[in-house]
Amino acid sequence: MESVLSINDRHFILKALQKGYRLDGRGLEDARDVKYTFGLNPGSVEVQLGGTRVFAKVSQMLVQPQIGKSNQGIVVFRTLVPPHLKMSKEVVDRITQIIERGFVESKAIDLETLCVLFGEQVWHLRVDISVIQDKGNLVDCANLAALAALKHHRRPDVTVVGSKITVHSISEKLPLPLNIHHLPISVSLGHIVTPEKDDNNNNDNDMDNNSTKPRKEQGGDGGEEEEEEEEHVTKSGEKKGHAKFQKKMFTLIDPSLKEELLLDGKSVFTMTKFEQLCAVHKIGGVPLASRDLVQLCYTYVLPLVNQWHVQLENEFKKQQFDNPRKRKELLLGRIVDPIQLFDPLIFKATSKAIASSSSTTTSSGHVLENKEKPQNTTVVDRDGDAHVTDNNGNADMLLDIDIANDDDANTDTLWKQWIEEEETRFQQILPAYTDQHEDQKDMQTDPQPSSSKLTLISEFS
Amino acid sequence: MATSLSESGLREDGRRPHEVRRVECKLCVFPHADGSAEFRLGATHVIATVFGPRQASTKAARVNEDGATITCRVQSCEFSQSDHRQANKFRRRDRLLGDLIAQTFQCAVMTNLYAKSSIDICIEILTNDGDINSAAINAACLALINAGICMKDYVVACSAGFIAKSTRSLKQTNKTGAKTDHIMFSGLQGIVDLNQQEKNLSKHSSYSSTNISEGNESGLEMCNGIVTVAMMPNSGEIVTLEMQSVLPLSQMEKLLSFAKKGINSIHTQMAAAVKKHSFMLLERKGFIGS
Repeated sequence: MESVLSINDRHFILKALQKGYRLDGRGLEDARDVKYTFGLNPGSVEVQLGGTRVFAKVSQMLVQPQIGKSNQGIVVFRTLVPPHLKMSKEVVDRITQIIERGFVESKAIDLETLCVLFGEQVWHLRVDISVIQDKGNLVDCANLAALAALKHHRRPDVTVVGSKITVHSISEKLPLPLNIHHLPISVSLGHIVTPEKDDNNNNDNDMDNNSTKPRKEQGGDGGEEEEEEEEHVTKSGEKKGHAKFQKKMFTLIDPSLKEELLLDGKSVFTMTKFEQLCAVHKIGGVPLASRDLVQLCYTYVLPLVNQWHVQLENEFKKQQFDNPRKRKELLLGRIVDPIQLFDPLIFKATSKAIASSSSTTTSSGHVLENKEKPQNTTVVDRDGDAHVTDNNGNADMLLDIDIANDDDANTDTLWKQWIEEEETRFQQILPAYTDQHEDQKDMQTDPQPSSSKLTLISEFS
Repeated sequence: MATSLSESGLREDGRRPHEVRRVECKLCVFPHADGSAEFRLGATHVIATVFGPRQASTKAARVNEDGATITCRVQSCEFSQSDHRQANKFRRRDRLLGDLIAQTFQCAVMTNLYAKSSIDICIEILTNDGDINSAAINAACLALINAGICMKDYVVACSAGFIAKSTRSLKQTNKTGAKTDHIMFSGLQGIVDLNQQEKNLSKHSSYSSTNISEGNESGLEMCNGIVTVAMMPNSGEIVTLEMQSVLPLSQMEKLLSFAKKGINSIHTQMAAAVKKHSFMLLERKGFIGS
């Protein structure tokens, strides 16, 4: 940003910092809250870090591999900044570079699983990181957005027979998540070195304290403080010759926009939860000793990385479970391609259209062969609840259904797979979501307008 | 994975782990520029020119009363790398490198002496055999010195990294380790001043994800960090630090100390070149009798 901070603002922020306050009421070591809004499409996420907003979207296509990397997929990051933010190309490139180093060069994404056919076809993932609003610390926000988007993304499953590649639509096979080894989280620290004015300020403070001396002398504590202050004065007196080089450094976590204008230096550390550094960018700014740099990592970066890591994981768990009803509707729909996967609105509007088009998409992809091996039996009763029973006859999962009219082999397999997945997931995370589970039960007791009795027999291919 | 340490603990190009490539510096190679320098680090060849301090061309720089504005432009030759690429393919890398150099020197140059003016650095990369970032920073530093611009200290850059050793070479260095003080741990060897081959090696090396996630010692064996450090050698403070690849945080300080060794040896050679150049000037003006 090219804007300038006024002198008054500068002084005010600096003075507040010296007392340990920041403009938005945080402490020096507090980061702003991160908010994730997952999009309806897989691989789309909006991340808000305070007022900074970044939207990231992953898209993919099949391409020929790069020369010399015939068994590796390609992941490309693009940062798009709207022109009104007036960012120079260098700044934008730097953000891309930091993210690229964190993900690609530290090998966070398993590129080898993105290979479809050796030397012929690999997945090309493109992560578009579009900045919506910049209120400081864009790097971290963009990095979190890229991370969440990649974690949220699902790519279509692929079958290779000989050299023939079949890309399955979502109605045939469930799309697969990406293989991410570790989550690189970047944390930027701002460094502010108070100039020699700081000494004057200290002296001023000392002067103020001297004027209030008589009051303080009454208490024993006050006396101690004075002694300390006197020591401080003598120290600064000794170093007065080098007043210019006597500096006190403040380190700010997650600097806001106004603070960014004030910073004397900035360093970005990309780390994983396991104390692995993935990238460091400290370009220019305050010179630091190597020991201080490492110390900064331990004291400021690691706790925040842990905090963000845990939050992200929780967010994904919540995202899977916060709206079971929406997902149930989707399960019963004719879901054709990933765009419809997480979008109930689209689904409702186009369910008929999709139903008609599902047969064509199936013919283009892998054709399911019906085998006489019924594994799961799903029965929808009058209340609109679906009871799923597998071969052993022990599993019984309740789902409410609003609209279900047709039966289709594709939907059945899809449904069955979802249910299998969810059964295991529910068992894992059930205790944490008991409240939601109760809600669900309440919902089930409500009489649902049932459309028709439906028996679905799923086949295993 | 191929290892680039031989059994006797030497690198592929015959260097010892803590040895930098041959440094050649030349000052004042272009008389029309205010300052210029040529810097060679092994086969890496960089030429830097400095124009300024002069009246700034942009309005923002002209208004800047606090100090000078430093700009840097980097150009790569099409033939600079082993794979012939069109120059515009380097554009993004060059832009980032230019930004890096400008910001690095913004804090090293005493900019408050040159208010409302600009200092323009121009860097030409003739050959890239790895570590161009450090070579470009060193060349720019020499050119700034040649231009007579006040700086707090030299800014000298060097890269360092870890390469994995095969078990065979591990045994060998274990024996020799007592004699020569090669710093080594868990089968990793710190090396200084990586050439292109070594850089590619650690880029393409693979490690198992399980090791990383466990964060245990065995994870160390396969991962490498590459740092490019620009330091003020006299105060030992880091001005610019870039890191790629994966490195456990506990090893960072060790890696930085390796880099510091490389920086010190480059610094002595740079300082010698500057001294030699200034003696030559004095001699030419007749201050030193011949």
